[in-house]
Amino acid sequence: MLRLGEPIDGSHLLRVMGSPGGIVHVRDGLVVAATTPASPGPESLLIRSGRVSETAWNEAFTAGAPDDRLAAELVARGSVGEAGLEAVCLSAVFDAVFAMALFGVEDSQPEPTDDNDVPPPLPVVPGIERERLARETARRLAITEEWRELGITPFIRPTAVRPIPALTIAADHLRHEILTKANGRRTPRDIAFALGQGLFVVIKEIAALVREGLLTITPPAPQVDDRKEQSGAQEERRQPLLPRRRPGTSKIAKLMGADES
Amino acid sequence: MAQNALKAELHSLRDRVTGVMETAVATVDGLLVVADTDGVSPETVSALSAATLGLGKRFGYEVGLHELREVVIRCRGGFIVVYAVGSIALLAILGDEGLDVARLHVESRPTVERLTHLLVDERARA
Repeated sequence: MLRLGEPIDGSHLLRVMGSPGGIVHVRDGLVVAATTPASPGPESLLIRSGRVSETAWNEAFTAGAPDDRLAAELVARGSVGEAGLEAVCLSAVFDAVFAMALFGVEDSQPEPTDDNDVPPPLPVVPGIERERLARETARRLAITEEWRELGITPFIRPTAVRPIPALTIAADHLRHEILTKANGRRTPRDIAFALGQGLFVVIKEIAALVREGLLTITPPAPQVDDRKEQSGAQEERRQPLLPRRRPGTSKIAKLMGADES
Repeated sequence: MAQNALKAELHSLRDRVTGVMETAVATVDGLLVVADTDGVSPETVSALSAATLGLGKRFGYEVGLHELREVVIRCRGGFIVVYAVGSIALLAILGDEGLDVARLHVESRPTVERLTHLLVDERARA
């Protein structure tokens, strides 16, 4: 578990060791940001979901990031409302701490910060009390624990039971998107990144879809390589693993848009 | 069989490192050896990775930064990382924007070493 119950005073980083672990940013005793490879940060949530365009993000980042004013620039440019941006940043912190805890935390170590450290680009202002964060994380962990009975863990790679039902009402949009991304290769975390949605929300929908029989979590049959299938085992022994280049067979010129001549 | 061993290495890397989405092994001149890809064309990844690796190596030497460790390209939607596998092949990795780059650099070394063994053994047998 995250040692968020420990006294957190002043401003520092909490380096969370785990698989994959992450970093919690503390300012004046409050948690202002949390980053981990296990859940999408505010940038992914805003851009991947289409809430902020790539161009708007780049312009706001160039203008605001060097002075720690990215949030103000995004709002000033009308890319996103102030309340909407705060909500995204807040949910990214809750999601990141939940994700770190879900994937497993081995230890956490406070580290001092100094003026040379680059601050988190979109901090929650003023920040979240650690008790609230710990309470919410415990609540989410308790809920995900119940889904374990369905076989739902962070490591599953669910597959949509084909055919995927057509989108009938707008409220089903996220469920539909999850079904289109669930191809047996992606974990809930991978789907969350692909869609720019929080990990907890995605796992919650996956649990519902599994319950309804629209997603299966049994691993799909291993894909058979057509070429291998045709050539057979004897052929495989004769064929070298390392291919040889034959003059005139390269596709790179075509890939790079060169003329046939 | 060796093809399966190579594929197993790629699957294992995807399992071990958060954010690894697709991988491919190719020869240094850009021919596909084996791929664990989803949406991208493995032939395209192989060809462009070979060009990228060559350019990275050359650039490092030209500006006096010596031997290439890896080429890391960061885009809006994620990362492209290319490692040399001995002097004959390369490993290309595509990751999303949450890719655990630090973990990848640690985990990819033994993978590259095992891939080198598999490919060198193959070449010795040929």
